[in-house]
Amino acid sequence: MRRWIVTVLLYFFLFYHISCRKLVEIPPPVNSITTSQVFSDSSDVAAAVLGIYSNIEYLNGGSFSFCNGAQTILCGLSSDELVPYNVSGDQFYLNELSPISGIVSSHFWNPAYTHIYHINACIEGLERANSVSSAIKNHYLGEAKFLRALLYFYMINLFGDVPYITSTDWAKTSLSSRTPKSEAYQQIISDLRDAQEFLPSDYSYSGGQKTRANRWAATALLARVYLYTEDWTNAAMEANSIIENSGLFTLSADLDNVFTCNSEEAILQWQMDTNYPTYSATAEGAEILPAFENVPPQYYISEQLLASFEPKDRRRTSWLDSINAGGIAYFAPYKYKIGVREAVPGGRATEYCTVLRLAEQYLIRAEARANGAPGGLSAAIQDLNFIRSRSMLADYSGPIDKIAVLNSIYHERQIELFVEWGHRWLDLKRIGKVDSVMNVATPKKIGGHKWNRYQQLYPIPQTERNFNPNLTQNAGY
Amino acid sequence: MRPLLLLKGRRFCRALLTAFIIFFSCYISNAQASGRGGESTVTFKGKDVPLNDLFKAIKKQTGYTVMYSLSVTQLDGKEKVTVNFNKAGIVEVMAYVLKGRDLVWTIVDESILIYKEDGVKKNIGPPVGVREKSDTVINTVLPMVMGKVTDAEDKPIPGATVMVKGTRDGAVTDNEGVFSLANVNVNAQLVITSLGFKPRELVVKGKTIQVKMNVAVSDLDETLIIGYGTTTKRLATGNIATVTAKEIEKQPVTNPLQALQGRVAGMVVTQTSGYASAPFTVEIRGRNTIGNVPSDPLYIIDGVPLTVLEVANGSSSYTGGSSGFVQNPYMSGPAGGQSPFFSINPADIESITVLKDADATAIYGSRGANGVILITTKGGRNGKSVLDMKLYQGVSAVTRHYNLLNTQQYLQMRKEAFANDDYSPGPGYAYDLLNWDTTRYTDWQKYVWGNLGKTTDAQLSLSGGNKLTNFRIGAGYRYLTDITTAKGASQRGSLQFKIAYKGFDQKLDLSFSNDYSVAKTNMVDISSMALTSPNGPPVFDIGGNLNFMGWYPGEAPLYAFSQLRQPYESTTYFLNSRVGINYQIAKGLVVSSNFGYSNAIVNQKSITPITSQNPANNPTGSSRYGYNSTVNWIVEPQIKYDSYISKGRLEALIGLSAQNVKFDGNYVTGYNYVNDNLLGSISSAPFKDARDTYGRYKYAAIFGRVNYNWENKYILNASARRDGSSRFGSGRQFGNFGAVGVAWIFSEEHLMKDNLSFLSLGKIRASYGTTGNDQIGDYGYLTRWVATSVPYQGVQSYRPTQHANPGYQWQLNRKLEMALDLNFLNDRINFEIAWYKNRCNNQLIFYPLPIITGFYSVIANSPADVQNTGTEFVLNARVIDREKLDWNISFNLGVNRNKLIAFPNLDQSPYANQIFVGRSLTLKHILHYTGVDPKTGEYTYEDKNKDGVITTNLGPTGDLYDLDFTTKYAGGFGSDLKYRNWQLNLFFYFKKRMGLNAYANIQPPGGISNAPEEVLNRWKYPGDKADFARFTTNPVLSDFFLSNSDAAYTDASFIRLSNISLSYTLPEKWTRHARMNSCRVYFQGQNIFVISNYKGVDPETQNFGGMPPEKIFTGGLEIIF
Repeated sequence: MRRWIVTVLLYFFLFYHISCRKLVEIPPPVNSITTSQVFSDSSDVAAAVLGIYSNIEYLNGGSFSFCNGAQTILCGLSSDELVPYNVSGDQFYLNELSPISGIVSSHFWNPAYTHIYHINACIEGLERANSVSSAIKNHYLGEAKFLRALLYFYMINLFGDVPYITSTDWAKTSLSSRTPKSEAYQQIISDLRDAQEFLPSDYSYSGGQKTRANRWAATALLARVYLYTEDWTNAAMEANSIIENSGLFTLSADLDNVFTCNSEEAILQWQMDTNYPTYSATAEGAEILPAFENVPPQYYISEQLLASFEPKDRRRTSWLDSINAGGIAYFAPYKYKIGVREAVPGGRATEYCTVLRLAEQYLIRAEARANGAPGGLSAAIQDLNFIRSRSMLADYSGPIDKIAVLNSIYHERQIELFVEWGHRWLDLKRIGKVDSVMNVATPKKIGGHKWNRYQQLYPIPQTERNFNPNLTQNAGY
Repeated sequence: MRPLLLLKGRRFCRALLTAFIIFFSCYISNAQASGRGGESTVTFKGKDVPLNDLFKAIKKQTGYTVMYSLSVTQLDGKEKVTVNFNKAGIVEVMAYVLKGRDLVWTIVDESILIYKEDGVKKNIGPPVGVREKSDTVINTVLPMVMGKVTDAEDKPIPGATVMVKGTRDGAVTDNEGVFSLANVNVNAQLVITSLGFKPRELVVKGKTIQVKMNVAVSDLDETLIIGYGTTTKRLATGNIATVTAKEIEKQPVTNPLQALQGRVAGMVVTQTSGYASAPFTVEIRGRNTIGNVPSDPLYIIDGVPLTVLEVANGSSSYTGGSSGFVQNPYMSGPAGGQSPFFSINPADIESITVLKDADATAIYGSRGANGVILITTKGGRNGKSVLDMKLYQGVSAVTRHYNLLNTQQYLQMRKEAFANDDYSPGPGYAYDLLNWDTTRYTDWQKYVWGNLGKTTDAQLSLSGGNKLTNFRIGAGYRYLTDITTAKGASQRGSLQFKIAYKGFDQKLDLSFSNDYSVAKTNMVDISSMALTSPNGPPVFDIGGNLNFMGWYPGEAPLYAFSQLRQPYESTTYFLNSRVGINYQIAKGLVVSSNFGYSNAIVNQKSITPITSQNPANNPTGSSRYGYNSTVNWIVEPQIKYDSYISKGRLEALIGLSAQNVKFDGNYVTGYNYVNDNLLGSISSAPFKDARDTYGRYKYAAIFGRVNYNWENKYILNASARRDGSSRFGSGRQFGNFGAVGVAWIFSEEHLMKDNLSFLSLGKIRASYGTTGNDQIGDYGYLTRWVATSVPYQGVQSYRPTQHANPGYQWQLNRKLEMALDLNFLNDRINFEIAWYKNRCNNQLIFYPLPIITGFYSVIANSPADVQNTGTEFVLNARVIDREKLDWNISFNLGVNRNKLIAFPNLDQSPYANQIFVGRSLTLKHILHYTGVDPKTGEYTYEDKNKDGVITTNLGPTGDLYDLDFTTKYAGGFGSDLKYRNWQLNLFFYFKKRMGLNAYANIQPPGGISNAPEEVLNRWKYPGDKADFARFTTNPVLSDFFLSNSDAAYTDASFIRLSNISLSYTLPEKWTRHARMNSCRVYFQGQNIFVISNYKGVDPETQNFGGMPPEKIFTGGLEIIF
């Protein structure tokens, strides 16, 4: 009897010990792959980096989000550009954002850092990838770094100082504090310099489509970054290299063609996947274009902006759509022509979300020159006139002094780049006019209260601060 | 859709009935009963009849019980014999039976004793005075006592313990219920105990004893199911609470978890919404972890763990519960998931056992941290076959309504709001004033959930058995419609089967159980529309189409009744199956194994027809299909050893467990249908988007338990388990757990017995042990990339999905419990008090991270050390115990205190300023409301840090206070009254806690949304003192802060009459005529009323706009044949 028991017990233990490891081993998941697999061959590497673009476009299920319409629409509301048809409680429009409302995190903060992790994971993976040729490695590094620079550029301009994260290690990054804006700009510039070096200067690798970053995209963004950091010489130099040396871009003569797929003016666009339902319209177009006849559009431009168009400006007729509803004419942005109403399910996309385009480079060069970059005021006016002439406007005829020319350039930026990537909102802050403009604009808004200086920066989401005790709030919130 | 579902249900019932009839008729033809008694001769004729039948006839005709020990005589009762006795004497019969066998017989007392001569000679000495050939009964001295233990119906009780009082001698009955004891004094007293029976004491007197045991009247000796075994309340060393079929059957609930509400001290069961299929949260003894994960205990149904892999990222949470069988990250349905117990028919449940302390749960090792709930389904009983038919129907309605503004008041509010804001109503933001008919009034609460739900429940079961086999087959069907005016219905058909068989000399026990159910839901979610403006236009236009243009031409998003035409459906197939084999290889040594298999498949469907969308949008249709499948198998070989060592009984168990769970899910969305008729076919969708989820979980363990019971006085129980789980990275997969429990039944001490005879049981018990938890996702230790939703440039691209953390380890829970059980006055009063202290550290959680790290969380061990201490009281009393009048009352109460003991480096963690050492985990951080400013009419709050602004930042830079939200106590009390044929049961359930105000999560009054009547007491002009701020269409921060202040919280304590049941059993003389065994009519109600100061729909569902719980009244009939 005893022997029985002992034998059986022994058998139990033996069985357990021999097979226990097997009993708790599970095969790798079938619907995902591990990081080491991803960076072991070039096609997987491509898939990982292209995933960043895909995520920027479709993270929010294809509706507008960070770097895919959110800047255009929400910064447009924050500034003096857009009016939402349904005003009640629109915190962006009223400049009354609260750290506790989820809207800032869901539209800006969260998607931005989700993409940044993705980019950092690609950069780390690529730097460690040994079985991929260095040419391929560098190319994808260049694209990833360009995208990182683009995302951080917007983050620091919307929130001020933000944590500049370059690692995927949560143990290291979870307690990060805010990086000074100037330091972030240094990093952005360094990323863009790398991108310029690594990326080709044509679109051959993307099948002729302007839908992936190349050297010129990096250069265009770099020109803008120099402009924002008031490095006039470099800003003019980078803009100049695109305008003069690339040989790839010209201003579209027809204003209706500026935002079409691979337009001659586009430097970088996000590609639509028309196999994906309903997205033959850009996310921006789908959100902003009037959906109905005879019904006020969801967003229309403010009276200030409408009044800022000079008479006979072709942009007023080409880039605005007038809707009559209840005897009132509403003007909606019409840069993109394809909205929900126009989109053909599964139809070919005729427009891509345009990230960078040539016209801005002329205006960058003009502003840099007006501020003292080689060429000076006269060259600046030349650039300005180049943009004006496309819209059938007369040449600049004001006084030839720095302030007057600069103001004219600012005005041209307001019109040329209206309701586009939040240029107006960022410009107002950059050129120090945000208080004077918004002091007037905010109280005029429907239900608007007083403008407060602190409102030029969006609040750091409270949820984020709850999880990171080192993350400070912007003053005033 | 509904008629179709009904039809299907009817067809299903018909099939079931057919199966029943076939089964039933087969069974009846086998069961025969005949014979008469009172003569000392035997008349019996039969060809190839089992020996047992002959013995039965002998007993019937002569009164002598034939007694033999199976193991000694090797006599097989099933052996076939061919006999023909006509008034034969006993001697003739016995000689015939024992011919050719090495056996002798004698008549002692009222028994015919068969035994082996050698054996007696060798071991006991020769029997004295036995006359083999005499029919005279001789009272002689036999140095051996043999006996048979049976139940009241003469069925043998195997495994009963027979002890000679005051000695170490004892025996256990064999499968025939027979025991033998050597060298027993004639005047010795025997104590016979068996699980589920009242213990008996008697004096030996004769040489053979027949002991009839009565089923335990007291709960004390009823069998309790515990992990891998059984015990009784008397002998238990751990904390075990049981809810029996009797209590469950009284409640007309869909989900058996609901029947547990308030029934078990220390267990809080909450329904997350009013949908029948909605998830439940179950929490035993407080919140163990700071992680936002469901608090569910481990559920085990007939030995098969109900394991749900939480693969739908983020759809399960602490407050929302587990999304259950629906693990679809893109489609969890209006109910926010589906409780697995929605698939389980409460009528098939025999008992639900809740294991709370370490002693009871440690045998489940790593998964017992949150407690264990064992569900045992009904089985057959020996004896006559019983056909039980039950049918009830009922109606349900929302428990309460909330008073909202009428049209006049609403319009007044809107106009005043615009006046306050100093701008005029315009198109786009004042369509309720400008475009809508301002004379209309609709009570949207009535529209949304004002319907009378209907419930029909039919149960049919057949059970029965004989010595070798017993079975139960039960079928149930339930159909209920939602209280929403929109359509919505749930139905469930279930089939349960359980069979147990004994064979191979009664050494083999085989059991098989199988539960299968098909559950369907059909839901429409418009509950958030309860706050629609009271002058809202008709939902449908004249043509019966959704009235988009009437609401607001063009502004489609404002029209939320689209949902009415966008139904969600799910069909769940659930199979739970188990085979159990026990084989006795030697005396006291049993090897056994469980094989369990369960499979849950949920098919979901949700469609968005073109007609449900604004035609101005030029919409296309879409449909989404979800498929979720969980396959789970488990094998658990075990060895049990049972023996007497010294004066005590030793029971030992060792076992292995291997479990394997696989989840597969996929979701296909079809877009751009141009024709609604094609929506049912995914292949007709011009565009499809498919996703999948996947989970795999493996689990292996070795476990053991030793129980030593010294004279039913001192009991020691120790268990240990070593577990391995695939949820951990390499090298960290294994963990060890164990517990020790001791009990001292001091009422068995002589001193107590002699002096405190009113104390029928006095027991002190204590336990300490460890359990763990691996309730985290699978593959958490890997970095993983998955395909992005859309390719880029035609290339299928990837994105990372999670942070990896290869270093996390097992969570450890330490549980300490001490308890006192007292029974008074022959068990008429039972009182229990238990005190516990549970500590949980190294908690395995989704450690929250700021999104700057890339993801919102990572699986990690949190350094938090959380303590729950509490006291539980249980009181049961048979106040009146007469033949005609019987009144029992019961009461339970659980008080729990939750505290964070330690958290190293809390300041630099994501929990900084959110939780505090020394305080409860369930803290809310809110502003202190200081009233409406008489000057501006805006809400004001205390500026705690005196910096001049009100901010909701955590910590010193903000003005937040911390408010403890722990449930202070909860419990229930019930009354069961029986008078003649009448029975009335009441059960109340109560909870003391704080909760959200009904108006906390609504828009600040003034916008296009209705508001509670209370807001009329608002600020109107400077100097006005009011409870509510001025109306506004443009709320400012101070308005939004209200929901983040203590003004939004209120006492949400309540007492609920959760169950009432009144039944009348028809007098026997009536039912006998109809050949019924019994017939009962009854009325039952659930959630009858709530006593609470809480304003709003229900103190339990505080979220106004969520589907509230419903009250239900039913009436039914039960007939037993």
